[in-house]
Formats: sequence, C-alpha cells, structure tokens
Amino acid sequence: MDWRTCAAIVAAVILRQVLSFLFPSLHSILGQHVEVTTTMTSFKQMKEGLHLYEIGLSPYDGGVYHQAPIFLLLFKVAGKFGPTSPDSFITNVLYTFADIITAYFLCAISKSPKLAKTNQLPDWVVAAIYLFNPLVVATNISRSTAVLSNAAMVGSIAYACYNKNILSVIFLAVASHANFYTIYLVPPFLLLWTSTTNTSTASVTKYLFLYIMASGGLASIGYFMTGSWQYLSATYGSLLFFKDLVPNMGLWWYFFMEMFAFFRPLFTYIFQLYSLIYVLPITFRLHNYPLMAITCIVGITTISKSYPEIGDLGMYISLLSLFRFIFPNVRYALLAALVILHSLVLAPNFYHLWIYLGSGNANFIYAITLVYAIGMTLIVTDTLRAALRIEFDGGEDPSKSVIQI
Amino acid sequence: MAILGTIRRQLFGKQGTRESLISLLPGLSFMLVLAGIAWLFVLPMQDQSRRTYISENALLPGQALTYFHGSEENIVRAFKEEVRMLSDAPGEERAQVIRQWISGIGYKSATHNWSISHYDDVKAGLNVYGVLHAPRGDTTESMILCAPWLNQDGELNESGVAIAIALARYFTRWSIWSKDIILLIPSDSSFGLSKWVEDYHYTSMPISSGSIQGGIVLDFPGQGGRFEKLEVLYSGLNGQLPNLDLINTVVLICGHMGIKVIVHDIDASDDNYEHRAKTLVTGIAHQALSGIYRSGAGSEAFSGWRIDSVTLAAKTSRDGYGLYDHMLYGRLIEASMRSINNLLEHFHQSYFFYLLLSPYRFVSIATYLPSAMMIGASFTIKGIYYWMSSTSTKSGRMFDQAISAFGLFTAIVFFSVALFSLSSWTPSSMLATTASVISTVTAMFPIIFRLFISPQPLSYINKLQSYVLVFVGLFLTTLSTLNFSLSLMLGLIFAPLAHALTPNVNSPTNKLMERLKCYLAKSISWIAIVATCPWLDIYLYYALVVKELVFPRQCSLQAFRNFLANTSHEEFGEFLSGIMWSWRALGVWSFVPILFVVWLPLWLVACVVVSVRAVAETDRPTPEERTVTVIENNKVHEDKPR
Repeated sequence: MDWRTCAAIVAAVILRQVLSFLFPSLHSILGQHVEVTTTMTSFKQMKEGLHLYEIGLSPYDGGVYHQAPIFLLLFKVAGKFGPTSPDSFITNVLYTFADIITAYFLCAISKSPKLAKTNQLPDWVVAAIYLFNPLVVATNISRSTAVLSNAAMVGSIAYACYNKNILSVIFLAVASHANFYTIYLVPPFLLLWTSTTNTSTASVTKYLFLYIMASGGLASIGYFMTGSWQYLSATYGSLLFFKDLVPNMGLWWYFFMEMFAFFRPLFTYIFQLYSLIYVLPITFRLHNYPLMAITCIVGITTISKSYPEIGDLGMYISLLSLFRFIFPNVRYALLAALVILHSLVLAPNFYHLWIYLGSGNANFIYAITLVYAIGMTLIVTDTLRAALRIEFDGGEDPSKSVIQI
Repeated sequence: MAILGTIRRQLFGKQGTRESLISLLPGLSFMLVLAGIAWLFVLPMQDQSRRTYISENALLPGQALTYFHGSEENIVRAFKEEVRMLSDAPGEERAQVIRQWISGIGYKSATHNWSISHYDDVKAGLNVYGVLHAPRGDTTESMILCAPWLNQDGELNESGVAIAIALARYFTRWSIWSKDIILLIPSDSSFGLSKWVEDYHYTSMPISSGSIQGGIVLDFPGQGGRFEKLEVLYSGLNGQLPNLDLINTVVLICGHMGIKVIVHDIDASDDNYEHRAKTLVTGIAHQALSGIYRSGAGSEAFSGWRIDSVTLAAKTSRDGYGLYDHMLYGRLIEASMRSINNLLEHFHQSYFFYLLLSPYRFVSIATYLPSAMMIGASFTIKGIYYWMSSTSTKSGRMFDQAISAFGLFTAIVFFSVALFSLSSWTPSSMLATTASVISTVTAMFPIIFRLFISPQPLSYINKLQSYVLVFVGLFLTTLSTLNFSLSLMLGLIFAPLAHALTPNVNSPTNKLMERLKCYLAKSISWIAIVATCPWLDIYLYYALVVKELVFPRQCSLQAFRNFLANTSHEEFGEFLSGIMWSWRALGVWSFVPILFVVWLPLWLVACVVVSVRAVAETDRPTPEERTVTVIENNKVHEDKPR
C-alpha cells in the first residue's frame, strides 16, 4: 500500500468518526430509513435478536429477527469487550474495520494477476471510490449488517484472485450464510477457482463440495446455537417468501402489497426465478471474465432481490471501479448517474410525504423505486455491453493495452 | 436502421448527431423556462380548472340543523365583555381566569407554559386549553377548536375567543360527539400555538386526548360582532396544505348560510380570468412565504403533524359594519365541527396538493406540477449541456479538471454552510450587523475572484457550472413535490443565473459589432449577478413587501425618502430575526437553510463564472491526454461494420 491509499483510509476513518461524533442521532435516523437498511440487515432488529438470545429465548420466535445466526455469535463475542449500541466503541471499531478491510480487498483485487496489470485505476482511487461513496458511508453509519456480509464477499473474491481458494470458499460460505443472494455467485466463482487449473469436472466438483461443506458447517453452527432448524425458515424462508411486507428500494413490496393473497405463491416463485435466471447465462457468456460475471450478477441481484438497499448499489459501483478498461465503452454514464441521483434524492422525500406528512401515498415511492430500477438496469446493461464489446475486439481495450482477465 | 440514418442526415446535415443534439440543449432549456411560465398562465383559464366538490361522503357538510342562536347570544355577549375586561391583564392572571371559565363549562382544563429562547432573546407565553371527552368516543381521536388570544395582526381576538368559549359550552349539551373536543386559547397565533402542538405530540401534557383529526382556528377581532365576508386561510408551513375536503366543507357551509367567502384576500365575486389569475399568484406567494416574517394565521401551526386545519377569519368593513353577525359565524363553526366529527377516518379522500383559483375552483397537482418541473428541468438540461460541451473538447485533463471543479464546488457549498451556522449562532440583537458584514464580504467576492484566481480553461468553468446547475435542478424538482410555490419562485429567481451568464473570455476579434456584442453579453451577466444576489433580494423584499414601498402606487422620491427615514437598523434586525425565528422555532426550512445551502452556492459559482478570466484551451496534450484522445477517436469509429 502506498501512502495515498493509507491517506484515503485514514481520511475515511476520520470521516466516519467525525460523522458519528458530530451527529450521534445519525445512527438511529439512518438505521430507520427503509432505503438504507431493511429488515434483513437492520441493526436494531439484530440487537433485539441478540437480547432474546442472551436471555435464553429463541431469537427466531415472534418474527422479529430475520438475520443469520452468525451475527448473533459475532455480536455476542463483541459484547464481551463492551456495549454494542450503534454508537459504542466496539461497534464503531467493527464497522470501520469492515469498511477498511473491504477497501483493502478491493485494492488487492485491482492489483491481482487475474485483472490487467496495466490501465487500472490507482489503488487509492479504488479505495476512495468505496470509502467515500455516500451510499457506503450511509450504510456504514446506519450499522446495516450488509456491511459485514459485503466485506466477506469481497474477501472471497480477493482470495480467489490470489489463488487461495480454500480461504475464498470459506469467505464465500460466510457471505452467503449472512446474505442469501451471494449464493448466486457460486457459478462464476467456480470459474474463478478453477481458472488456474484445467477446468475439469473433478476440480469443479471438489470446490462445490468444499463450498457445500463450509455452508453446512455454518448452518449447523446456527443449529447448535438455537437448538433447532427453525431459524432457516425465519431467515432464508422470510427472505425467499418475502414475509415482511415493508417498503424498500426494491420492486417487490408494492406488488405483494397490492395483490390478492392467493396469488402470492405464484408471484413469489416468479420474482425469485427472475432474480435467479440470469446467473447461469451470464456465467456462460462471460466465462472468460469471471470477475465481470460476478460484478454483473451482483448488479442484477441488486435490482431483483427481495430486500435491496442502497449499500448494494455502493458495493456494485465499487466492483465496477475495478474495470477501468470498460469505461471508454460506457455510453450512458451521465444519464444513469442523473437517474440514480434523482431517484436517491426523491425516494426519502416521497417516503416522508407518505409516512410522515400523510399527503403523499405509496404510489409516490413506488414510482421512484421504478426509476431507481431503470437507472440500475441502465448501468448493468451498459457495462455488460461495454465488456462484451471488449471481448468482441479480442480482449483489447480501446487504448490498445492488453487485458488478460 | 438505414431510415434512421437518413432522418439523421436530413435533420442535422453532415454534423455529427451528438454535436447537433448538444447544440440544441441551451435553446431547449430556455424554452422550458418560458413554457413553465406560460403554463402557469394557462391554469386560470376557464377549462383548465375544476369546480371543487366534496369527495369524502362521510363529511355531510351543512346537513344538520344548527342551533347556536337565540339565548346563546347572551352568553356570547357576556364572554365578550369578560374578554374585553381581561385585555390589559397580565398573562398569568388572564390564563387563570380563562382556565376557570373552561373548567366552569365542564371541560378538563390545563395551562401550558411555553418559552423559547435564543441567547437573551426570549419568547414566552401561557396557553390555556380544555378537553371535552366525547360521549360516543374512546379518547383516541379529537378535533380542535382554537381561538388565539392575539390574531395574526397582533389584535385582540375578542369575538373569536368569546365565540369559541360560548360554542364550547354549547357543545357540552350535545351527545353526538364521537371525537374529543379540544378547546385551545393560545397566547398568540404563531409561536405559542405551534409550541403547544409540538408539546402535545412530544411531551406528556397534564391532560391529553387522542390524535387530532382536524381543527378550526377562529379569528374574529373587534367587539362589534358584525362581519362582511369570511376569509379562509389555509397555507401551511413548508408548502403543506390541509386536505381540500376541509376547505370545501367550510366553503359549502358558507354557501348554505349565505356568507360571502374569499381566499387570499381577493374578492372574486365575478369568476373571470383576472380574478382567478390574481388568486393563483397570491396563493403561490402565500404558500412560498408562509411562516416567514409575518406571524401566521394559526392554522399553519398544525401542518406537518397530519392535522388538517383552516383559519376562518371574519373580515369587517372599515366602519365596523357588516351584513352578518357573530352568531352566524358561530353556527358556521358549529356546522364545520359537526362535519369533522362525522369523519370515519382521517382526511384522505380529497387532494393534498392543489392551488385554489377561487373558493370554488381549483387545479390539482397533475395540472400545475409541469410548470415547476419544466423550470427545474431547464437547470438540469443546461447542466448536462455544460458537461457535454466541456467533455467533448479534445484537449484532455478531463478527469483532473472534473475533480478539481468538483472540489471548488464542494468548497463553495461548505463555505455557505459555514455562514449558515454562523448566522444561526448569532444573537438576535447582532443579526443586522452580522448580515451587513456577510453581505459586504460576499459582495466583494467577484472582485476577489477576479484578482486572486488565475485564468482558468473554459471547460473548467463549464464543469463548475454543470455541477451547480445539476445540483439546483435536482433540488428544484425535489422541492416542487414538497412546496410547489417555493420551487417555482426560486426557479424563476435562479433562471438568469442559468441563462444570462457568459464566461469572461476576451473578445477574439477587433470588429466593432463583435466587441459590442461581447460587452452587451458581459453587462447582461453582471445585471443577472446583481439582480439575483440573495442579500439584495432579501432587502428588496423587506422594502417592497414588508415596508409596503410598492412602486407602482407610491413611485415618488418622497415615498423613498420616507422609507429611508422610517427604517432603522434595529427594525431591519428585527425583520431578520423574525426570519431566523421562523426557522428556529417553527421549523420553516423553506427559507433560511435553502438560502444558504442552495441560493448562495449558486450565486457564488455564478460570480466565479463571470469574474474569473477564462481561456480557450490551446495547450498541447500531454502523453496521458493523448491516450484519452485515442480513446475518443476510437469511440467515434465505434460503429464499425461487423
């Protein structure tokens, strides 16, 4: 790490501490904003689950807590060092560290042999794009647990890039345990893990088996912690079947709010199928660019998952920053940026009109989530097109430096 | 595809599509401003508005007989006499007496002591209120009957308070109430009332009731007890409006009782374009400036809390004579309260976003919103234009320039925010001095920029402008959904800064005409800068609106001299502190924060654009930039046949 990267990291740490110190209420304000945290990542609900767990009740009774048991374990251990309120020292350290380690992993990916050596953004820019992205900062301040699962996901990419496949498998298992949709990344990861060896059925099977073992191990930790498999339906079940009908930035809630109850199963399957259906085609189409495939799938699930939040977009933008060579081919950057910017400003505004002032209604924020989805779709299709264009040009980027993904 | 190519060639000739489209943007942007203004003047036309109608069937306005007459008049007169005797009493004594009356008529009563302070500037008072628990309700819902002791003009609300208490007494005899009745006599119609509403929701009051569904504020000063017409005041703070059904209910009841009703103090007896346009424009001004300087009518204190309320102001003619008497006013309140009482759920059925053209006509959001949206979009489009035109230049340093321009923009915003905190920390007595210091310093900025900022490439200046214009466009479109009128007004004020500015480039030729053109453009820029200076505009507002130096009427040197003679430093300071108080105590974010966070940065960037010398870029590209050029060349030839 050069001094610039260090400076970016130090500045990011200072920014987070200053925000936390000057505006102590920001944690709870952002923590209650539906755009920033969802029921699947809310720190407040995590604390409730933790409390239930610590007094010996099952945290998954009563339908409040929907997050993975691993967070209970993590914050129980963190609780040994001090109180775990959103603004307490230990939480602050944990979340700031998660952001720093994510930035570090991103820099590592950017330099890795699996990406081009030439024509990458400088490390400090990659780190700064992640650390100073307002979406990422807001997610961090809100103490959304997505910060932690994103760190695990980026970690697994970084280890895979340096051929430390076992560690990568474990990180991916942790990430998909904490955030279900990360499981969609397994197919491109199989490409990544086997890219150094000959992609044989045997090695694919080996890594798949390892992944399943690791996930099973984590799942059984949950079983031993809570004493039953009930947590599976409370976490993955409520995520898959969209049990908690709360507005968010996604496309789901409005449909499920409006439709008759007997249509719910059908549309649940259709919506879940929709988010899943892109995984294999994109993996096959971009088999020469597994990192690009991972990024694309992250982008698509951000649009189509059941409980998305703006931190996912921040993560996706940071992953995109690793592919500087596609930038010249990106056509609608200005349009997409303006669309996303407007939707991000209008969303809290319309939510306020609806929930607090009572003069707007649900249609307002739903319209804005549609605009947001359009902006996201623009980015995903545009970057995908740019990547395919480079493939069409024979792996050469327009400035004639060789890309070897 | 071929046909598209043909169309493109037909439209743009040999010029590239991108360049042609970019060159269209400034014109489009300017047209949008004009279209936004034109749209506004289409609204008052006969067929563009709709007649109001009662949307919520449960309201049943004017369906029940009203019985507030006959011997009730004696009680009104008696209370009026009592109120008059209390007019000079100190606040404490007054509150105790009123509280006794309220307990005497069978309400649970309490006083509410409020004070707000900013350093040594303290505002305090004593509100009195009482609650009648509904015979048919469960204390989960309530409605407000409110008569501020002093009305918005600072007059003693003599008949208003008396009628409110007499009505409250009369209401105890009915068993039809399904919502609690809260009788509220705040010490004034502005801070006292809004503080009460805030404390009702935030703190535990000695006596309380359920969620407030609606409210009527009585404003009937004077002792004559006659009135000529009834004004319905409804503008809330920050662009909030009560549900249109509430206004319709009151207007409909007035129609039944034969009371002449007006909005925005405009007598629109004959429904013609001029009256409708006048009402529209005044309504927009009231909505945009609501809560600033002038103390509110009372109903606006309830906005933002999901409480729909209107102020019913009885207007007397000059000699105190009027066609209607106070008992009719009381029956109007009675009928309105009965309608609110009929509600089965919260007001929601009718519009929350509307502009009234007369008491009987309105335009809804879908019809009027395009006006502000077009003006807001014109800024974004102009911003896009500056961005595209500054990135299409082949000479590079794109990225660095973009970052450094963004840095300057951020610095300007931070500077303005710092000024904002400075002025909110300033004690009220120092405000006039601080304001003159700040305005002098900022007025010096164009000169400072000129002297100390070295000449910059034109594309740098364009990038800076594009940031601020996109920022303002984003802000205005967002604001138009919250406070249409303010967004429209600010959009019109800001428009010169988007369209009349020319960067300070040396005139290239020696031709007389060219030079004249250049000088003309420069002087237009400077006029725009002066005209949109926030401090100057505030002072103009003070002179023209607050001190009523309306030029068409009193356009004489004498009037101007009078104005100067009558305006002291202290008085202006008081005006400024009134504005600051509206932000501090009433939470009117729609003026002071916007002034500092949006208006000032925009103006400062405009100063940079006009004063900093810009140079057209001719320097040779560095190796780095050559890569960029290659990239762009590649981009041009991208559509190679496959």
